[in-house]
Amino acid sequence: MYFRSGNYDVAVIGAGHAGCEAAIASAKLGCSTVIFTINLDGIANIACNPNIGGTAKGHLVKEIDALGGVMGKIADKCCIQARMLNRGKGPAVHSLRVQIDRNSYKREMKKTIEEQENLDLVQSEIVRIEKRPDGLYDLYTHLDAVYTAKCVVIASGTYLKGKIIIGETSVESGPDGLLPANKLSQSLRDMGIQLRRFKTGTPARVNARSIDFSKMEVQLGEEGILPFSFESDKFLENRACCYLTYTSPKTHEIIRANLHRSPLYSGKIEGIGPRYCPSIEDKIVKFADKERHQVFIEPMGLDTYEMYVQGMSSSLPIDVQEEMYKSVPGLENVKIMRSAYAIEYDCVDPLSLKPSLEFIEHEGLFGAGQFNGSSGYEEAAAQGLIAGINAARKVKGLPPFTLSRDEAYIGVLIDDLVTKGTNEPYRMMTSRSEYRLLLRQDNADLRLTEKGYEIGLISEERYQRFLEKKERIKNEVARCEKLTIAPSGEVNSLLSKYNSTEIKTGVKLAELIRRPELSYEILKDIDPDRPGLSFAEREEVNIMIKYDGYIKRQEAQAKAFKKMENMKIPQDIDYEKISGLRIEARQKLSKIRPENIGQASRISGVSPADITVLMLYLQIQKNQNRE
Amino acid sequence: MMDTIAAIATPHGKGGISVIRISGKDAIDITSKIFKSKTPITEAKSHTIHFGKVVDFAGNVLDECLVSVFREPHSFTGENVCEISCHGGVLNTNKILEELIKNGARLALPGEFTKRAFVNGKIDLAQAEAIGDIIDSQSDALLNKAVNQLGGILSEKINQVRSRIINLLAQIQVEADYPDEDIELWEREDFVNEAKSIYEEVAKLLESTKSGRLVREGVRCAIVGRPNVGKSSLLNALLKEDRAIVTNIPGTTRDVVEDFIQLEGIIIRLADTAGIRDASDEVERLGVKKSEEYIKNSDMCLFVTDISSPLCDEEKEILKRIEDKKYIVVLNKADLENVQKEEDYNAPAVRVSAKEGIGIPELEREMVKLLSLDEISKDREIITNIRHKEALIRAKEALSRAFGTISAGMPADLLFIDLTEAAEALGEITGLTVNEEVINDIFSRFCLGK
Repeated sequence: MYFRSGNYDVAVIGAGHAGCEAAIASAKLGCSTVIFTINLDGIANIACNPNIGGTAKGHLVKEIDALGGVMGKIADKCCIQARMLNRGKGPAVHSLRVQIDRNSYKREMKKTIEEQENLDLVQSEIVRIEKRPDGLYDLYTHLDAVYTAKCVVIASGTYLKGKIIIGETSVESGPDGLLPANKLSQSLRDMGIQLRRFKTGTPARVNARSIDFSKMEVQLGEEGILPFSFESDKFLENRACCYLTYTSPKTHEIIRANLHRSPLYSGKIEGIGPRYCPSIEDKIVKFADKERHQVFIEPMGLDTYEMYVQGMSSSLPIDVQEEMYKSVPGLENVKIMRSAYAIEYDCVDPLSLKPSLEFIEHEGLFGAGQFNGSSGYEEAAAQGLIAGINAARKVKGLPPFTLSRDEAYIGVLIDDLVTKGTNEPYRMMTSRSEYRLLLRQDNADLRLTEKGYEIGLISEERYQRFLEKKERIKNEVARCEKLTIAPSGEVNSLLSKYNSTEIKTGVKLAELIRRPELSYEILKDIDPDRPGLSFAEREEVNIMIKYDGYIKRQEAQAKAFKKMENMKIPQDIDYEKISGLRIEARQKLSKIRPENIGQASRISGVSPADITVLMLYLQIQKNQNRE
Repeated sequence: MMDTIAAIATPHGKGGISVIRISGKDAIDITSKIFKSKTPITEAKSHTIHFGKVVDFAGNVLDECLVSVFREPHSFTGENVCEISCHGGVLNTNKILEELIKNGARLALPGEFTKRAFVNGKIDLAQAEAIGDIIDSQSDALLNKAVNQLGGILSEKINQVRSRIINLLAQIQVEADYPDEDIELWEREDFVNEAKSIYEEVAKLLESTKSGRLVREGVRCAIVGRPNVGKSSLLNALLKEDRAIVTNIPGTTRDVVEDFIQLEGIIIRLADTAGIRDASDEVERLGVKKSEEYIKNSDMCLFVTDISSPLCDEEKEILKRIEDKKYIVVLNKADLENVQKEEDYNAPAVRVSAKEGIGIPELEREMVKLLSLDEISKDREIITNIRHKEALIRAKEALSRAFGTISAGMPADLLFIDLTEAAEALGEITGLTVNEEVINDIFSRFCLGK
């Protein structure tokens, strides 16, 4: 016996980082939305590293904020330590990373969902999805309730047929001992959706009271760091610190002696793991001549003694883990609270999705987060936001919202997933972006607030403030380009103080800012007529002027890229008819159905020669139609 | 398969035989309608040649021809292809083409055969261009270069340089993406040295484009000297010595009549500057100007003098004009009394009797030496193609900007913009990056029927 429990515009399965963004966005856009989670205490669980942001990931969080998502604001609120990575490098790779208080993060996200209008939060496992003849979806819970929705977002994370593997032992489980979702996989297969198996892993959590921190280096946070959210000007606060130690020769010995007991090498794990996040046993096998590996000890929060042992994720048996962790300086007497484990889960091949994250073959069904083959909280949240926006737009009959590779890391992320696909859990990196000098973390709001406003996730008030900020930056850049600094004793003594060549004739202020050894900030004393700008605005002015030449070149490159993106491919094209395409290319193009030549050119297995063939084919086709 | 196209595949006026190529699904059927042979070509196997007559619809014989039949996919374009080899001559060839079109073929657009070959996966991008060069090649050396390029030698060289750039990029990127890891990276000095070495490699390839022009367009050689020193007879002697005369290169220098010989497989375009004057007798001044211009643009000069009489003022004037040029002194009339000596000149000099045909091989050897023609001819990496040259220039400029960034003390990760651009420019040569303009550019260079 089933009972009908409710009708919604949008239903979201899973309340992790993807699901939460999707549900909140959809509800904010005025759609009646329901979000399901297996356990209300598992909402927005920080299942691995207790930090948010990092290289390229920090960019994603800033973009989420600029579009009207929630991750940035909550991370700011729960920040206990902040660092700007790559500060010594160019502005494209500056990346914000914050350590967060895990419990408050979960609590804050849950509260945000609870407070959201149009949004219902339900603890239930969805075991079956059915498409009805009228195009709506029926969602069946494990308690035989049925919910009906116009659009569904699947954000099942690592729960889908989750299996935790530690040494010779394996358990059906989600992360952190939460229940897995064992039944939904079959239902998806029944719909014709192909699933595959990925794996990821996490290190142990240990009790801080059992650690000898005197044997470790202290890693302090940095002061004067702006938050993720563009709505706040307040610097982030440092309330905790991290520690750095290293593996010892004994650690390596222990691991080598026990490799045969690792499920990775015994063949017990079939899922594909990420290359960039190897387990400690992987690192020791692959980089055999490296004498030691870094181990970071990070707090799980201010309300707990639990510490995260970054760099030592493992799936070795717990007795080996015990020995292994204790061989690390400072961890001699360590008490393990949660063991390290590998987790395997079902996910989908993202090539079966459109750039809107809707399934090509299933109208109204969307995927987001780890379910789509990605890894990381930030990657998940970014997809969740886009899937939620597009589910809502579908309900309202609006065209899908997508971002292109030259507009946002989110665009790069989704394009990579749905166009190139992935053979391992996909992680964002700055090197994945061709136009990264345009896609900086500092200008995420300048790039995307307008779009967030058009979508309807940015309030009128925030938008007005944004427009004023944009105007102030624009005016100040123009002023610096125009203002001539005359040579004077004061000016030249400042220049020589910074080892900069003295000036003999008048020089534009902007020219001085462009000198590598100078900056907008340094020159403030010789520029008394400066308007009062905020810290973020001053930083923006500096970057825009200093890297102007590089930015312009990237803009030119992006323009050439856009040209290929604008060459649309007719959706009824029959690739089987183009004999010049290699068979692999024909199959890939038929499957992925790229929307334009640019997208087609990024499909793996489609060579530049294939693209040229395709372009010529389209051209010849056009010529023939003309005749 | 696509519709059937036809065009004259040989350049107009070049050679005694013309080839008409027909490609498309009805190529064989259409050809069979105008071509009568013992075995009808509709029944012919692929890769066979048939003798027969081309007749028009009224049954008039237009020509006796050979028809080669290629069946898809084993043809140049990957489609059914016929090639009619007929007797040359614009009128005759055009008439046969007209008959084909009356029977259902369509006149091919510029580059369309090559495009189809490309669409059908028969050739890659660099090969497509090399074909253009083979068709266009006036000389053996250029043909060799083109053939080498078909074989991928150039591609290999450029890909090597390109992968070194990509390696540098990877260094930068790994550092940006993994700031916390203690990864061993190149020292800044090694990085700069490698970037420098790559830059030099590209510069070297670019340098070879200079000789590439000599290979591609031929060496411009001006024969200079006062009247009656035997310039025309020297020209004739050179032409006589070399039987492999290329008759004409249309559209090169309309105002100057050039004759051609081949040395080491490279074309030497000989122009008697006196001829330039003679050609426009009535406007003497204009003639002089043209002659001067030709000398200015020449790659080398032959200064002809009469060995039996001392150097006169007019000759000294001429020598002054060519002193910045590479030149050889031709001491003509060596069969007469030798008043002048080789040592009188700061340039290589050769005793020649144009009339008797003495000293011509020695002169040719000197010419080869002067421009290192033998080296050029052997060098297999010479860039002969203009598009390749442009790509190399862009790569070189991008690399030099990257240097600017390093030396200005900018953060190293900013190099990715210029290094990426350099890699992409090189990739364009071998087809590793696709850019619509490149393709349009390549295919617009192919002329009708090629």
